[in-house]
Amino acid sequence: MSAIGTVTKYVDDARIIYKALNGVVVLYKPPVLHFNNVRETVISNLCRELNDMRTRPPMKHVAIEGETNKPMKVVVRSSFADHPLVVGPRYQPNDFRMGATKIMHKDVSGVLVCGINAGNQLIHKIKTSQSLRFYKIKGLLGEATDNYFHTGKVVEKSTYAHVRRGHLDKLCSSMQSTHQRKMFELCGVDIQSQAAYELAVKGLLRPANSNIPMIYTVKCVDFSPPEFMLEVVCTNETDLYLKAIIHDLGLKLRSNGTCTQILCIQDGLFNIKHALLSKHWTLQNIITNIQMCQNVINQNKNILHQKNPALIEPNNDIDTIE
Amino acid sequence: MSWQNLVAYSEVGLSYWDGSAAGWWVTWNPGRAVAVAGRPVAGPTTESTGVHLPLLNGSVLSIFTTLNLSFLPCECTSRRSASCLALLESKLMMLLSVTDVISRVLILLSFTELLTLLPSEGTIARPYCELVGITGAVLSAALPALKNTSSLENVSSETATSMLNTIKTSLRRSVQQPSRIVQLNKQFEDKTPVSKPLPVFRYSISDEKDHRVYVWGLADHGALGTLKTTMFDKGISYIPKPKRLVFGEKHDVTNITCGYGFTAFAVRSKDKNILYGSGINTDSQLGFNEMDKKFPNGLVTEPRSINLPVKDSSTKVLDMAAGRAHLLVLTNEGLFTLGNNAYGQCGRPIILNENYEKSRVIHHIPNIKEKKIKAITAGQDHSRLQHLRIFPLLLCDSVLLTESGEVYTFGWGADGQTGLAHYRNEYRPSLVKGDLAGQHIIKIACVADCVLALSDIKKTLTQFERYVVTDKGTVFGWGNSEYAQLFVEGENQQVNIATELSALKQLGHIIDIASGGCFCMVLNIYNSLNLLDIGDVYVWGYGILGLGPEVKKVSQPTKIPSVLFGNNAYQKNTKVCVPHITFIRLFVLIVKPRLEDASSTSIMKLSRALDKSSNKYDDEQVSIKLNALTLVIKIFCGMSHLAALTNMGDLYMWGCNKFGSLGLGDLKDQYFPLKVTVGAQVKKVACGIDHTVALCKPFI
Repeated sequence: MSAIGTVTKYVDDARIIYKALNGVVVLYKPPVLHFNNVRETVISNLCRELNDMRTRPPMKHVAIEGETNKPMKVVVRSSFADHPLVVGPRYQPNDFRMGATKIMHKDVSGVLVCGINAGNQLIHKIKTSQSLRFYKIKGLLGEATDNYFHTGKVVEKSTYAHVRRGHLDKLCSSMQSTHQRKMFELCGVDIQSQAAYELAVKGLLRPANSNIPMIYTVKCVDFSPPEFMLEVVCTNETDLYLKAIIHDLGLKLRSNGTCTQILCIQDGLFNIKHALLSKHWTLQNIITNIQMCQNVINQNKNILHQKNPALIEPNNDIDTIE
Repeated sequence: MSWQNLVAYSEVGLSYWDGSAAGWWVTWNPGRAVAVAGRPVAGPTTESTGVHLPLLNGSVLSIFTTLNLSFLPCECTSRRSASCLALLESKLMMLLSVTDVISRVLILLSFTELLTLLPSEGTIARPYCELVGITGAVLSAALPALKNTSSLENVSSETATSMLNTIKTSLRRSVQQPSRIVQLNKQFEDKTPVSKPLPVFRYSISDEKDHRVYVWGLADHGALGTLKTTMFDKGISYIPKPKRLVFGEKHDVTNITCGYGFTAFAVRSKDKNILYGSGINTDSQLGFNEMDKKFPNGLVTEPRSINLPVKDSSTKVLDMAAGRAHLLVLTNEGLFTLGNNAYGQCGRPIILNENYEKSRVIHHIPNIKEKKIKAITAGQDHSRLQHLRIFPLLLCDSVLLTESGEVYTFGWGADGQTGLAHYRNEYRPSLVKGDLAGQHIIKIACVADCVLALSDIKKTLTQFERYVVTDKGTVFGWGNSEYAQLFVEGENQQVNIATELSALKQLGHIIDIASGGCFCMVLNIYNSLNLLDIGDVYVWGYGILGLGPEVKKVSQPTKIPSVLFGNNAYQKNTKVCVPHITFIRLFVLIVKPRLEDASSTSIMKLSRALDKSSNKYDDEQVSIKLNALTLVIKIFCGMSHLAALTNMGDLYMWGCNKFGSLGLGDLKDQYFPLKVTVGAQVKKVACGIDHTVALCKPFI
């Protein structure tokens, strides 16, 4: 933690900064933007700021000039072939690779864990470790749309006056316990074996297949009809799967449900407090964020190399990080 | 259809008419609407078109007919146009046959109007516009002539004028027609949908009293009340997943019980049919009914009413218990016993070689020594070979619990399960001897030959309005202890007198008990002062206990980890700030099912007491308490399968999965608790030998 916030050295050379731009960065993805737009924005920001700094000077061009029958002069000049006005800016979008643990669609917002350049290897490891994501999902009772999201066309309307908080809680708890049962069947161990029992006693398990969505917790955290909010802990989910939960809940409540917001508040080790808002997607902030994320990852090395299907709880103390 | 074509077609007509005596011709003028020309004949001419028309000779109409028929075969692209053309044609034919002038005009009029309705799509539209135009021109030319004819003399001039006006209007419409048709052709692309307000649906919700009955397990003997949509394993039908019973939808089921291959349902009804049963009826444990003839082999495969000799139609079933081949039903009017009485388990004198088949005997025990009966339990023999039931024994005992907390037993006592300090059979309800004396018993558990009894948790309210528990929930046991269910040492495997199970003392307060064929299970809470402390399920005995496949035998009570009952580690991570009042509501929600005997007033006092000490609970503590929401509140045992019910209405089952009696969807034995996916909140479970019935409430 001490490394963050303490200035060790001022650097104005873009080359040094570019070499430091390797690692994991946590962004707060606003809704409506697709991940591709986020990537474009971040990379163009990085390029612009790096180009504004002191960049690499053009290469030298050695010329031997003069008349051949006389002693000739060796002249060293800047090469025009390497001049930014000829070859373009020093840092261009192609110089950056950026991937994420989850390709977020435009309806989803919140924590987005991205890797920049060499950080993509870490991202791949985090992705294969099937870390859990925490979501807050808002729903609206009484309406159903054709794409399960509030942006779609309303296809059905129904009353919701009869819905009470208790109904929602019961359904959520039933949904959660049924998923938990499914968890034992999907963890890849014969349920009749001793190994299955030992895993079950440990608690939550990760599914063996990374394509099957798995929900660990569903609970209602706010209920003010017609709106309600669920908190969902899950892995391998898709945005449509989360929307479908709201839709199904609406049907089970003898009404209709439409999703109005999907907000990811935690992705594996990284919390919404770590995430950079879009106004902070600047070089300085991204560099700081990369350093902080590296610290968090160093504290939880075991998360990246998991052999056991049992879920390991991360040991990061969220409160100490500003 | 282009203009040239039309001309060509009309020329066909022309040539035809040229060949005839009349010698009329028709010319088409694309620049104007239409012009019909002909050789001048006697009669007035119209100033507008200068067309001369012979009156009433039918030639003009013949032209129409010809024209019409000429483009019929090539123009009828759609069915609608075809039908319109057919109509047109018939109109024209009518016109030809009618001689009266007025009728002709009228028919012509309707003909014009019909043309305005004509098809708009495709190439057919254009020629028809022209046809309309022809009609219009013909009419306008014909009408002044019509006025002069003698046949119109009897028509007043006003009528004629109005008729003329009508025709003019329709003509105007027919002239406007082409532009509209062109528009219509375009409209197919940019047609804006008409927005209608969506209807707001109101879906039905369940009633407060609604219950659902779910069944699973072996279906062949009919105890599930249905033989439909079953699966087959070696020719035996079974239902491996909870199936909603239609009977439960038609009747208001309030209670259920399962015996050896039979099930009894208590229903709320206005008449005396308060009890229904299905399953094995070889010993008349489901009573006698004339309708049974239609069922083979003494098996009742769908629920039918059991006629109890009750006096009042308002009598309700309070409790039920089913044994190997007998059924006990407790009503307001006392206890009724049905079925086999070979060992006195029905509470009446034993008759040697009594024939129980198609027996109509129902024994009535109104009360015991003037004390009302509160609860009943029945057990059955337990075969030593768990999977092979080959002993055709009918060994049972019955246990009664009175309102004052005393326990009375009768029936088979070979293993001491009657607790009467002897091993004989007893048909008279007799008070259980031993440590039970003076204790207020609230629950008896017994499926086989090991009986457990639970005493009440006594609570007294001190002057500080805080509960102090003065007496723990203590467990007593008697009967067979072959698998160390009763913690007895040495050779003696039978306990014929009620004994306090001191090994359970360390578990704190026991709030629920269950006893199976060769194992027992208790549910405890650590600290009854703070009833929110998580209770745990403890098991001991022999068999599949829920401790994994390797654990076969446990001699001391062993905890089943609460993780297996849906407790989730990740709930702790998310902190929720809950207003204190919500916490109290939750408190009542959790405490209430735990203390079934606690009246609502005491709960109110409890929550009030908590409210006063509210400063003790800060937000964080509240959130931690909240996370402990998944609690086991009730436990049940079958002969070889176990069940636990959580406060959220989730049912967890484990044990030996005979014929899918665990309801997990397969036939594999389950070695740790697993949730049964029932589509409702489970309220009560009745475990038989190889089938299970659950009484549930819908979510909403």
